[in-house]
Amino acid sequence: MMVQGYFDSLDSMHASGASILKEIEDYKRELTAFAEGQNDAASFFPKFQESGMMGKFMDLSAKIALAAQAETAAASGEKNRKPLATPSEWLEPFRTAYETIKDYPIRERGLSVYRRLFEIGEKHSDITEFLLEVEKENLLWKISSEDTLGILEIQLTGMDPLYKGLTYATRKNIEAWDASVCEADIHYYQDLLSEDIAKTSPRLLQKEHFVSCLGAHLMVYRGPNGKEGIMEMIATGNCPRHKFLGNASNMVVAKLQARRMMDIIHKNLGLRFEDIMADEYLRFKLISSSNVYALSKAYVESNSNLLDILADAFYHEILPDISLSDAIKRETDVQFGRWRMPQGREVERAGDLARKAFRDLPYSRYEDQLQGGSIRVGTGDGFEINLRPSV
Amino acid sequence: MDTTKELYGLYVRRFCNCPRTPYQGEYYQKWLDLLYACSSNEEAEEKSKQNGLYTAGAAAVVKDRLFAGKLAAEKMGWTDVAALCDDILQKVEADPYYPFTHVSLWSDLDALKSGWIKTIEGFHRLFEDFLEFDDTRTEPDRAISKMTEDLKMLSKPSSDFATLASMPSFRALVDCSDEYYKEFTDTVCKAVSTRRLDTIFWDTKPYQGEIEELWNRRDTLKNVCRRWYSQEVEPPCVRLSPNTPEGHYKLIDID
Repeated sequence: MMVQGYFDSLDSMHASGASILKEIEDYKRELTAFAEGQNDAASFFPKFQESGMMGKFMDLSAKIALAAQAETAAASGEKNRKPLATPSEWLEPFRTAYETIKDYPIRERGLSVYRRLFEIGEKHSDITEFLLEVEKENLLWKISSEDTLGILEIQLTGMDPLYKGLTYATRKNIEAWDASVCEADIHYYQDLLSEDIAKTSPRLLQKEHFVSCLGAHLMVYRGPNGKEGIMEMIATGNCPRHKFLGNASNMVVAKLQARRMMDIIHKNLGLRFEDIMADEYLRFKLISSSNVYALSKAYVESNSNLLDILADAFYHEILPDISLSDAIKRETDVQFGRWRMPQGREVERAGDLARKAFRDLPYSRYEDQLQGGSIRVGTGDGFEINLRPSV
Repeated sequence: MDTTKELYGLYVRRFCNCPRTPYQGEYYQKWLDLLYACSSNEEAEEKSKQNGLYTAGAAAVVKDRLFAGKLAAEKMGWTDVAALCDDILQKVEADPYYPFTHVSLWSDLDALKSGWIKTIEGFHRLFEDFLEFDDTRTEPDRAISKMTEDLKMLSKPSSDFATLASMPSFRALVDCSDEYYKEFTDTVCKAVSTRRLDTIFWDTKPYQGEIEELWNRRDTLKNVCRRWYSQEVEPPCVRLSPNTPEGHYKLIDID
């Protein structure tokens, strides 16, 4: 059991006195109840810290050390006095925790704090001197904060940095953990963040929702249920009148709807079509795409020319409102070929290409530990839990 | 004893410098004062047992957490959350073991907080419902049904959509012109009060001549269409995101 290390650490300090012994027993009961309520070993330590249990452990350790020092002073000269806990004994539960996560590179920032803690432990034989140096670097807080920051920063490398509606929460969490010096601090920032993220992340997506609406109309106008479908019917001679007229009607309606949505976008967001096309992120919202790698790091799309095809239709057919016949006829003047939606094998291939392109990213190294979307973390007692990346 | 004083001095500095931890700051300051007032650790310990400081550390941690929650709630205007934090703080002042005998207090606090968050999420959803409807102004029943469902998420500071919509903090949730915002709020209010929404009938009748002309000219368009149809279907592509916000997407054809 992971908490056993904490019990051993307290026991190793050889506390005496009814009052403090009762306090230790109360703490052990409380810690046992707390541990039984946790089913995720990977998040045990952050929760241990956030819940105040870590603070109590520190407090109790300091008290025992203080009492022991007093006892030592009072009993100076006595041969059978109880020894103070050494930093090495005190660090025992931290070694257990370190062993649990040491094989996971994603935890490197947290692991480096543990190693620093052990390094300081090696230097000192006196517990108070040891705690003094630990406090100078605020290492007990950094076990949680650095571990969390390391994971969040690795997750961020698996995200599309232009997709601000997605990255906002992670970036803000990083800022919060970076600014915090203790558990009350992170509670404060996370309370504020819960509101900020609820307000801001969806707002960052609103502009692209308008653009996606416009894009959907352009796709209908230009796609298999519109212009492309008509051209295929004419080319192949397989041209049922009802289907032909249906596609022509779709072109008309999609054109009207695209013009109206462009008008809404211009009036309400101040964006013209050329502004959308000039925006590295926003223009791709005109076409439908699916994420094929990591946390929206790569997308599969119909064709690398599709944006130009849609822009051509918008500028030369929809905006000037040319007739359907003229729209079909002008296809001779443009260089665009045929396109289609990606098929299953191509989606897989897109994922492979993305994986290869991003193989050096920290996220990719982290992904190597994923098995079916989660990390298996052994807790050292035969129990395993999944650590899923949170977005 | 000097090392102990230095250690507690560092605790004081960390917690007193942090605006969220006055109780731990005060707790360690009392310890430090006591250490300076005593000639040995033993004496300090004895006195701390007499004045209650000895067992006050855990309560200080919990009180700071509640204080931090109260500060955040006040900053956000979550009055009920701030009041509950305050109420629990007073209870912990009276009984340091209160948080450990009333563990549900944290879930009570979370429940109060969630009402505020759900209201914001509901308001966002209502705008999405409106945009989805306004895109084509068709399927009013579907839009009304979604809006009715999402209105149930509103509770704090009011469950009334119109009241919320008139508040600057809720206006700021939507990235659009004032005119479009009014259209949004009017549409939701109308959906609630009348269960009807103004739709657009996308009439293709004025274009019938154009559509018929296309049908009649299909033979003359055959060569154009065949030329287009004879082209290879271009392969799909993968779009790789940049690694920095200043970067550009890279498109690679899937061969």
